[in-house]
Amino acid sequence: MKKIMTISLLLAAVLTILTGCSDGTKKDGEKNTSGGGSVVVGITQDLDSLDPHKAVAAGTKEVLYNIFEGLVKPDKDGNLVAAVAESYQVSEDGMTYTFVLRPNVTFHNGKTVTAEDVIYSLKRSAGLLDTSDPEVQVVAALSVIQTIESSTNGEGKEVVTIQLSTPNTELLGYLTCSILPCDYTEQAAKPVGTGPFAFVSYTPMDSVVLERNESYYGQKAHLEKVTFKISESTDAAFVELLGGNIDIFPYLTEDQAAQLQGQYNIEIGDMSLVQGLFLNNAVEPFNDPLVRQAMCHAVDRQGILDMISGGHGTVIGSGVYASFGAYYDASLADKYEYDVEKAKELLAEAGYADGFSFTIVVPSNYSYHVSTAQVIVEQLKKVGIEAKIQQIEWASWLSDVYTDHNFEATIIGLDSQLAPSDILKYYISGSPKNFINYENAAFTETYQKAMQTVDTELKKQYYKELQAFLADDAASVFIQSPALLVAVNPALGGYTFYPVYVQDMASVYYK
Amino acid sequence: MGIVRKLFAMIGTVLLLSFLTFLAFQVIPGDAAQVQLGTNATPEALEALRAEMGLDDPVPIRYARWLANAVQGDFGTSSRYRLPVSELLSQMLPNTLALAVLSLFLVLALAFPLGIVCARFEGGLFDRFFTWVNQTFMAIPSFFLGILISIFLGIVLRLFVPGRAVSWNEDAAECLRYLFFPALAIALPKAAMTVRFLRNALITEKHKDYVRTARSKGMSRTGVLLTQMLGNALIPVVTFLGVIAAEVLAGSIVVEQVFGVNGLGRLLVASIANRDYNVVQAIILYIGTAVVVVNLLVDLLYRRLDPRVRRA
Repeated sequence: MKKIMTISLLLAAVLTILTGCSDGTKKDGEKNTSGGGSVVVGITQDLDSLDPHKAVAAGTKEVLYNIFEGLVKPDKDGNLVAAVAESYQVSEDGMTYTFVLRPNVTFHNGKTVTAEDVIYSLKRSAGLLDTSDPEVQVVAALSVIQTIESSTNGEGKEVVTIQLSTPNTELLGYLTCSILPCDYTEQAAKPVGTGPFAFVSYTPMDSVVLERNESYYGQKAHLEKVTFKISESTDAAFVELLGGNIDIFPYLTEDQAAQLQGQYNIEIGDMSLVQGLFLNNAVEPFNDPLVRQAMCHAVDRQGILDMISGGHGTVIGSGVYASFGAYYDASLADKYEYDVEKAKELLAEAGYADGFSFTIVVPSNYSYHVSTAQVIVEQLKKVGIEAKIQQIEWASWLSDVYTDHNFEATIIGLDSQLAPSDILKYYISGSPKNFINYENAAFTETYQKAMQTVDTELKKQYYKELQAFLADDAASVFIQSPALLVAVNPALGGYTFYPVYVQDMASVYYK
Repeated sequence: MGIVRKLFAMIGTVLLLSFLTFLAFQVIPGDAAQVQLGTNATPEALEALRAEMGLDDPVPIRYARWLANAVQGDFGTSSRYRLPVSELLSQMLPNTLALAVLSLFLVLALAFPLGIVCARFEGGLFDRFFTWVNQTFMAIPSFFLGILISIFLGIVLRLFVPGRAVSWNEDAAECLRYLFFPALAIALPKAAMTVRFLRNALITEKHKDYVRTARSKGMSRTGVLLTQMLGNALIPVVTFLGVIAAEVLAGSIVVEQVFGVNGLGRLLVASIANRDYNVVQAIILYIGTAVVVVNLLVDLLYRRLDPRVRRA
């Protein structure tokens, strides 16, 4: 018995020591009212590369947005505003882009940005450098660039002129491409950019630490230090939120948000994604448009929103989400109203009166898509369709579904640059990105016209036609642009939503 | 059996393991180049990156190349983190080792006193109470216990901040203080099992002749238990502790994830998902080596504990 007493006393002693220390560990989150202070932002994906030209994952880009800038960058309203460039001009024929560089912009390593750096960065992204690095993500849209030249204007400022081989009036959306120093080779280990925050350190699977860029040309950031803390999953991050270890966390589920009410401010934005049940148009029975239309009628999209995100989110009816504003056709959202009888009729007409069965492949790391799949399976039962969920790893998804097109149906969210041509690139005939095997010659033709036209009204018209094609053909079951539920420490202000997938920390401050 | 033969068998086991791991990666879909390039991959870029990563050589050549380098202590570069594997492991390994040692320490510190007291007062109130407690803890998986610990000790009692793990290389004392809680989650179910093992082993010994002899010569119950019976009862317990040691040294994948500990278990899961062959190979090699070394130690310990094994 004495031993037990000793042990419990020992344990009590250890616990006391630990309690004593937990106050001491608070130091990181210290508040500072006069600008400054530090925050911890929770993210759930490790970074795939620190080099912005090599990063693919949306989860990486949202972090790197704070370190890097392009000639232009998106603002919160979806406009492209001057960044490294001071001003720009697009010729009327859509063939020439001229940028006047902002003088005295410096990289985080102290070097001044020159036209040479800009040309190097654009060429690197476009795959036009003599020695190419296979890891650099070549931006296909930049392949229309023919020449990039530098000159000096009357005021002594550097000017970069981009000449295209075919007209393209949407290139600006891709010129958010990060500007990097041309003679710096450590980008993947110690990245250097021009953004409001400079890189301090990265620990794999643990964290990325940034500090305020004191020599930023524009409005300087309020916070002195930002730590992006990598959590294993939203569940792990949730426990950390409850423990007060994270100040901002952007991917809450509805249940988690409800539980955090009071402790955190919950801000609701838009994920800017096209979430859909994507159907492989080349395999039976989805090669029949009637079947696809029946599927659209059989899926209750509002029901999905109510079930998994408390009704938040925007129902869509085609491949473009609402943040695209004037290019977005809201009228298509209710083209296929939820109608079990109609779905059954269409199925009977297609020769599947008794329904059929198929498999929905879902990447298991996206719990949101997995939940969506579960709701859809139940909904489809009502029209006699038996769907089975198969969860696979992301690497297998990329290989089987995206590259090899070896699937029947999948649920995924597609993200985009701030150019409507980017979100619609998945449906061009013959493109390797067309993983659903959608075939419509008229779509592809109209797409080319839309990219090249210089008339804004005509462009909007074309893009609406493109969305109508996808809806009419029921290319897939387009579900929604999901809501983004963000937990923000009540002491913080200035958290801003963007129509692209970024976490801008420059605007955040302690109240 | 000679130690030398055992050592050769160990090396053979580890080699076989590394080859099987290599083969497994040929079977599962996707490769490192595809993961790196993601949805923007073009066939040309994939080709080029595969060539750069050396993925386009035939399997036997790649395995031979890996083995030749590994024997010289060079485990290659992580395709994901672009860091030498040894550097990556030197960040994670101390955390996993610290967690393992702390867990083992807790298992021993809890199991021995409890097991002995339970066996000494077999059938008493204390024994019955702890039999019940043991059964409860044996039934709770570590990861669930981890969640409970995070919530009750972390969030309600605020004894620690869940997720604010400190790395061993940064601050060893802080690291241990945090790791106490995940170690508790790992140790409690295992300690419960060890208590049961030890108690039953001691009770079996209790009814043997030598105990009666010792008692009739006037030795106290506790005296016989500690000086005569414990040594004999240890033999089955050591086997079980060996299994536990191998398990915790291999890194508790799930508990590391629950507590956000930056250890090998987490790295292993992430590296498999990223098809980061070199990292996976190195970790599997470490785990395999840990398991065979622990087994060797258990064998050696047997020789100390059991004269019959020594003579054989």
